[in-house]
Amino acid sequence: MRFTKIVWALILCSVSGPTWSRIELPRFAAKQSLDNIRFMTQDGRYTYSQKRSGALSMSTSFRTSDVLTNPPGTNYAITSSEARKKMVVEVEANWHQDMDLNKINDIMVGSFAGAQFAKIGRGRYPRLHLDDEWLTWFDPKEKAIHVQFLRTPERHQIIKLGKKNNAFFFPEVIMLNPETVLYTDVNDKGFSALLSWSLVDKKMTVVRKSEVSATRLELCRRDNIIAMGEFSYDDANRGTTIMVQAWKDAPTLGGFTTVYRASDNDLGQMICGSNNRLWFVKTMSEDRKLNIRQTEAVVMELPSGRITVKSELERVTNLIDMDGRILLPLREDVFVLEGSAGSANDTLRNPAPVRSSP
Amino acid sequence: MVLLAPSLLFAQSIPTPLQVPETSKYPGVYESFEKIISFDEQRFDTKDKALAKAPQTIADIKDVELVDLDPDFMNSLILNSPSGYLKLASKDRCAFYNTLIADLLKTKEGKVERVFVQYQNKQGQNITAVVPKQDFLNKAVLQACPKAAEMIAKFQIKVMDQTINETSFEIPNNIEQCDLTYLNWVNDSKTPYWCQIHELLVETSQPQSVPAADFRQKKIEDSRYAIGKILRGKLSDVQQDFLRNFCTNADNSKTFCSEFFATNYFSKVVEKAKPDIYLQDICQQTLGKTVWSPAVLKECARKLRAEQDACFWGTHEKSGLSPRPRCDHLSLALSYSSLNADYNDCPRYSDQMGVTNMARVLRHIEKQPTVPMTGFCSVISAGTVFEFNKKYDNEEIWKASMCYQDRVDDVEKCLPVFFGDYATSTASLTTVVNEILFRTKGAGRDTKCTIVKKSDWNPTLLEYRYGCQIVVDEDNCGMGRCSYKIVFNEKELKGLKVKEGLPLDYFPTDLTNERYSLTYILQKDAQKKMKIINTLPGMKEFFKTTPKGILHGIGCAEDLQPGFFKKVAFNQCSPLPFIIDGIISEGDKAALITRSAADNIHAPRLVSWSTIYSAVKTYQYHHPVKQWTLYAIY
Repeated sequence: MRFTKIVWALILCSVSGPTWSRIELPRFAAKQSLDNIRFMTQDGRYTYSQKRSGALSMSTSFRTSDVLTNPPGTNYAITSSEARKKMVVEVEANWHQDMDLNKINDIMVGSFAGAQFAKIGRGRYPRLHLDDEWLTWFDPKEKAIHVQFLRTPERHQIIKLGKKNNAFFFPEVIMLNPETVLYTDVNDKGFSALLSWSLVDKKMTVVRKSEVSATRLELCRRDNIIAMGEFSYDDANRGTTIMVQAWKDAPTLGGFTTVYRASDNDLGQMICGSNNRLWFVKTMSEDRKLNIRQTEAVVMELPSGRITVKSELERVTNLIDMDGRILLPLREDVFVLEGSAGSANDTLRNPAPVRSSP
Repeated sequence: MVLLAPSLLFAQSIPTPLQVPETSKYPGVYESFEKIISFDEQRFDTKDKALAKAPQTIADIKDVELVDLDPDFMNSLILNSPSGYLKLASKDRCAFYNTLIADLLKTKEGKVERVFVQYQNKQGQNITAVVPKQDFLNKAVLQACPKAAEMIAKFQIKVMDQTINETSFEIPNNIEQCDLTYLNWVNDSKTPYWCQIHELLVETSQPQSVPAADFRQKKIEDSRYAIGKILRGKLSDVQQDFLRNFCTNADNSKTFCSEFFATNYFSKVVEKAKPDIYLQDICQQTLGKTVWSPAVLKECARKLRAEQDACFWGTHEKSGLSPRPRCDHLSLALSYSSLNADYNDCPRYSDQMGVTNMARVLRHIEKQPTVPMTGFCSVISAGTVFEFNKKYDNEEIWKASMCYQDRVDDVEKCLPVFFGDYATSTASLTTVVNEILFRTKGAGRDTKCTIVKKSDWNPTLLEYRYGCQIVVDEDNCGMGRCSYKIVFNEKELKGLKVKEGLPLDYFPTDLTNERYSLTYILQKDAQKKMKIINTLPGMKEFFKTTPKGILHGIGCAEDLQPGFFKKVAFNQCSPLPFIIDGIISEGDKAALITRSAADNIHAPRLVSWSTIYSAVKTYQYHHPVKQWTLYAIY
């Protein structure tokens, strides 16, 4: 009997699993199918969904209404900023039929969690800046960045990009202040650069040029941090550098401090999160002969530069910031790295019991 | 029949004699190889002495099928012959005899001049005899294997050209194809004779060594060298290299195949084993030269071998997704790639990646002739796909059109168009404009419009003063839309309506319109077989059974190429078609040779299976009918 107990104890110990901790990320859940959702506020009160009819609908307080109507086959991409005053909707016609990587979509802006949207322009990758007062977007046909002050339609400028080899290049854009636009570009020799455009003088200045070709620059900005990452394209083996410029109310851009440097070909997908945290996709191991990588989502604490690996999925490719929730989409699943995981529970609370009369 | 005298082809090679052991009994199980050889030699010599006492002519063989080689003689052949040639000899009796005829097998004496045989004579007696090799060949071999005589006849100098033309020396494109090539050569009865030629070429590449005083031997050697020179003139460098590789590695398919793929692809282009179009664009960019010549190619190949970055950039017009892979990855990918890609299709001018990808698929599965084209090189994709759909009565899917008001019928008529000229296609830009000018401006049928790029346009030049020119803006033109103007007899033509855009279904997006999708036409009308592939072993198996097959599919660009495309919104997905035309496996890892429609056709990338799977799975998630979009075509 005693021997049997010892044997069972040994068996149980062997199947109890490894003693090291495993990263189990919560899956993002919603009351409807995730593939219909296009945006959800961080508290889950407002959800924007794609309908089969081609309309964009908004759900809140158990009511649903169509906010935009378009023919079937239309797709929507919705983004916002940390200011949470406005939202931008990119309306893409013929999503599955028109496979043009440089296609131009309608760009519409409305109040955050609102139901009214107005067309502002046509292009790709719209982005809100400076307390949601400004909007930039990129026209891939004209190879030009549009800068629009949302309160005054006449305040509109166009920044032309140079000739380049990569026909499918999309710049990153952030605004420093109402007079200065920072954006990335690459020249015909393949060298990337961070450029500054003065909306007053209508002139361009080179802020920082890459020392090697075949790298791409990513920009993000949140609160008092501006981060710039230089990542290698595919198998170019240029390594990774992330620089940060701590800035608050500064009229011009100061110097960058390198907070991370590695010889790995990290993927990037940088997001400036809240509380001085920087998210990106890091290469954990690489077979350089066959160009095979294992990548994970990591977060860097600023200013310490300490990096924590936040996933254990081996093939992370993208990170998304949806109203402060940091999400990791992977195939059919969406994992939550930061923020509420949402809920698929549709049950109403039970009504309070009826009191018996005295 | 003149036998290609085997005796002339080999120099004597007698191994250094080993120390003879005290006894000649065979050693136990564990013994040094050297001792085994020395025992074998002693037994060979003993048998030789014994048989010399009673010479035979084997004229009285009862049955040639029952002639066997003496076991000691056989042992000597096995121990002293190259293992590759033993492999060729091991298939069956006739294969063995072919290898023997070709002088590829050796005994301890070197080249086989005499053969120890065992046979039954007509009196029923079992005889062991040593006979001259020629006698053995004439009286036993050619009787037992009559086809050997045909083989020998094919390798006479006067019919050598025909034999070379009938033999395939094709360089394989991937491992599976290489394994097939290897097996074909191992099983081919002609192979021993090819290896005999290889041995002759090796020998005659060395300086002559027989002294002039030895008149008889000198004459033999001169004859051998003369034959070698003739053969060297008939066989190309690629063919000689192929023979060298096979005959040296005939016993090991892995070593045979690794020679093709380990060798730098750029060297193969210089050696004319691969077409130079694969490097032209990169070379012209990296060297800054617009003129193309063999000297430029050689210089470029040297640079690409030395500098990994040199392959990143091509010319502006032909570039797609840039940078391209670095040189070692590009060389590896091209070595394993099997897609027919002897043209340029300029994906930067593509405004419909589905058309670019389908054109690549069609031009691979059906070899298409080179046709005259004008405009941007992306017109090759537009023309190929338009004509394919027109052939199967599906041209309605081509939405881009030019419209005019027909005065006779008083209706608006629209003609399908793509912006460029492709052969005599009815949708070619100049053909459509000519037709419209004829219908609306009273222009003659012989009016021929020409396409002129905006950067070349100069209305003051005499050639542009009269006639019809279509001026296109090269920075703002695709297949289905373009910024252009038409100048007819110096006046700009206005009022022509163009319906821009090329929305179409690559894979079906709904059941109602399924039969108009490109893959439906490919499968049902063009009768091409397609098979779903959703696992890596399935893909490996496909390439093994169909070495020249390809896969095509659609995935989200942000998952397929996350270094180039970034997700910023929830459920963002840009559909991007791609082709997989090869696989490299090392242990449990595999890299797939992949070209997205946005990549230059000569710049395939190494992409992992997990990346492909993620891209296709994510796209399936967004697809209207949840279709899995990765199929093999064969």
